[in-house]
Amino acid sequence: MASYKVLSDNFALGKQGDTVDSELLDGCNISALVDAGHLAEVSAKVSKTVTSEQEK
Amino acid sequence: MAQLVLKNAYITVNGVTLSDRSNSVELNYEVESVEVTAFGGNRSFVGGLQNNTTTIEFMQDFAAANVEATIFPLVGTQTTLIIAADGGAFSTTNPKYTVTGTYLASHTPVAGAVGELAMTSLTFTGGTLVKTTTA
Repeated sequence: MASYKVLSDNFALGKQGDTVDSELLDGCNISALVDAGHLAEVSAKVSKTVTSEQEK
Repeated sequence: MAQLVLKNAYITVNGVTLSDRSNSVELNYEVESVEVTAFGGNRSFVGGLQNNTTTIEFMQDFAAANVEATIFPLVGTQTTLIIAADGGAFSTTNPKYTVTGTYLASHTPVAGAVGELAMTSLTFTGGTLVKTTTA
């Protein structure tokens, strides 16, 4: 399920800065919302473990 | 119930609130009539498919995430509209009309004569209309 960050202040399904998932956007044209600058897709974060020399 | 003057109609297009950029909205809910007249009777009809049309007049705005940015990518696609007579809470006296899967065929980004307000008139056709009285 894709997630999107709300960028605009006139989006009715979430406040600016909120993260909404595609389920909430059912019926909306998501690509048009992204094109219009209302939403930005949130990339999945890659978990990366870094062990420093001090921890070893 | 008193008479109602439209002062604060609620309009969202594709989930975007654009009420403050519109000065006219017309939601036409129609179910096609299918004739079932048989010999020996008078004209008789039953309900067929919904054939809804929504016309909204928008004051054009090219600012980020506003009218033009929201509408332009929708041409040739289906979307969802939500219309209510008032922008307050939805209730039995202020029902919410949701039209899903409605199609936008055209948009006029620039229209008007000298000295006139730049407007765009949008007509959304088709889709399924549902009326609810809660958010």
